[in-house]
Amino acid sequence: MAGTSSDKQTFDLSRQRIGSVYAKALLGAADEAGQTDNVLDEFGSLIHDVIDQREDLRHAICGGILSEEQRIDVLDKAFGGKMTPVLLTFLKVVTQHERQDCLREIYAATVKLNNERRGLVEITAKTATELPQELSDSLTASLQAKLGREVVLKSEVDPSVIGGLVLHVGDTVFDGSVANRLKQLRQKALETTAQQAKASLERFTNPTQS
Amino acid sequence: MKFNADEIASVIKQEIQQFDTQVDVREVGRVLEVGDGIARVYGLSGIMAGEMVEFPNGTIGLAFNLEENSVGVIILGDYLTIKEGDEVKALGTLLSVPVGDAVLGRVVDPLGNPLDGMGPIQSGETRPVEFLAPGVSERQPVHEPMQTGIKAVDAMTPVGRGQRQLIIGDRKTGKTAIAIDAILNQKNTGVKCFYVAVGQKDSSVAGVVEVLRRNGAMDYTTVIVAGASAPAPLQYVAPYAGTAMAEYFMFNKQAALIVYDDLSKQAAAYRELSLLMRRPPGREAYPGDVFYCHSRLLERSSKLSDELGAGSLTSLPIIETLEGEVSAYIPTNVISITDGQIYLQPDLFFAGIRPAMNVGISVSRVGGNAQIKAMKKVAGGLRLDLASFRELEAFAQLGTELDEATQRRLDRGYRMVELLKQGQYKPLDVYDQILSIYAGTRGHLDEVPVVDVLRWEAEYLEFAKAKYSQIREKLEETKDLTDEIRDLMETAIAEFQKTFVPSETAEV
Repeated sequence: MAGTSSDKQTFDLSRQRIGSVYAKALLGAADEAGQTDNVLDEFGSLIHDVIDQREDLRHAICGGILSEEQRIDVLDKAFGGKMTPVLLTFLKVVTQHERQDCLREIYAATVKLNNERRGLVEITAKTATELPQELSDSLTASLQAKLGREVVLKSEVDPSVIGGLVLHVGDTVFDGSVANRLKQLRQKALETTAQQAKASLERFTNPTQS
Repeated sequence: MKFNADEIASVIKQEIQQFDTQVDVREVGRVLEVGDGIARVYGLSGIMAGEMVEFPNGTIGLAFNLEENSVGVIILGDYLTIKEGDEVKALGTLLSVPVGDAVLGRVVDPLGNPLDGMGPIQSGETRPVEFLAPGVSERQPVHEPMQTGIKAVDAMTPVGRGQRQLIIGDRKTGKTAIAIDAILNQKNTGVKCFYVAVGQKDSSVAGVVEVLRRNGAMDYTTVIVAGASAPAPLQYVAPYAGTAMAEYFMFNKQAALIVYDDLSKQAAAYRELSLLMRRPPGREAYPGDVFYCHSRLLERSSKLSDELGAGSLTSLPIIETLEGEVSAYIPTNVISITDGQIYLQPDLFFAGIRPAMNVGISVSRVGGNAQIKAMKKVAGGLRLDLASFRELEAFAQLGTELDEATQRRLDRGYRMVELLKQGQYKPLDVYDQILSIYAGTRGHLDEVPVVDVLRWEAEYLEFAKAKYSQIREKLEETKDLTDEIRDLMETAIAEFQKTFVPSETAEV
């Protein structure tokens, strides 16, 4: 159920605002039906397995080529009976309001809102190489112990980190990476050398032999 | 000079050995859009207004607008290499600049980076760029003179230490010249000077620096430059940065003088970035808080109380008007904030009256408190006399027959106007000013042809220095116009008059 809550490629503030409004509505409806987890699972798979994978389906569902009736028709034919009715109705409502292009933002906002309600913290761990399972488990456990809240760990691989670990918790970054340490060391060395050179220039220069 | 590589290596090695880091904790956001010196950043949810942020290319920014889910950042520096999606780091501090003796004699940008190629500024101390002005109880009234060395200014619109005197006028009327003369005249007085160039042509700034250097004024002067090609955010913060550097001396019991050249360009830069930030435009499209932008800047000039060391910061803001329009938005704002203004007029300037000060609407609200007693006695009433002379002169041009008394007033006026003319970069000592203005106001010049007045003055000052040096000594001692000094001056003038030869071509 725990998926990505943020899509880093695009940030569109107005669409995000729309997304959070629809997300609140979807969660409310899903709660009443008592199928929150189901709805989120299916919504996630719709985004990841259908819209992200198949361009033609993305155009059909999210695009504006088809008319409103046609879009509702497509939704009915494709998902009728296979999908939780709450989600299907919701998709129809979205498409009726011509907001089908915001589905991705709606999904992201829904996951985030749901995490917030349940007291989950989403943490992204960036490492140079793939994080082994046992390490990521122990990391999750220790983070949970530290924060006193349940943690959803998402790992990311970025070779430019070189070594160590970078943790993103919301907007705060805990940077224990080798790359960052090297940067700090460089900065420090530059500063002290400049300071010492200023203090006693003679130390660094050979008396000119003539 | 040869460098010793081993020594340098050993310092670095030592640094590496001692290197010890904690995990770096920082708050980040991501660039949504960037352009024209501003960026919108997503994230940075805990940032404070005015906090510094850093972009990946090392450029510093300031959180300017805090919105529901984005932050508007003004970029102080190169914004062309910042890309969408870049990570922006909050630095948790307010913008500050290096201060202290290390900045004197330097040409720097508004962040304190050197522009003169003389190496980094090694100063241990910094001050925040935005700083609250001293309050009522921390100040005292302005009473000490800040001599500008310009006869017209020191006699009629005197400037005191801690005063804010506006220099206002059209383009090409000698506004900067007055400010530069004032800086030159601070030589050997211990007053530290700061020249903030906002939106000026880099060539004219280079010219100013050259003049200061040639006259030995760079030893106590700092030039802060945000030229016409600098992005608007840099032009906007330049006056605040300069003030922060100058304030350091004020709070350290010294006197400082700061020139803002000019605030109309800073207002335009602030308007530019406010509009880009989508703040609502007001009159002349300036944002609503453009008054506050200038008032909080100029309020920082003050004369501190004796308990705080009696330091002072005098400011000479410059405003450029269009076609003499003083009732435009920014000029009226700054006029109402400052303690007086020197109004320069193009027609006077082109008539050869330089400094082209219009005495009728130039005023100093601190007035005689900022003059030494002798000057006050010599020049009291001079401004009003000159102003009424201007009216009379306009009337006399109608060609009417004038009675003798009026003609005398006119003659006196012509000579006073002539006497108050002064060359550029030639500031005059206050005691010399007293000598020459005394001669003028007491009618000793009435018989001298108008064209000879300036020559008379120069020769008289020379004469007084050579033969009556006791006048000057006594003036320096008492700073007052005692009967003794007056008698001495009368005799000196009488003696000099006998030797003065009017030029042959001159007509009275």
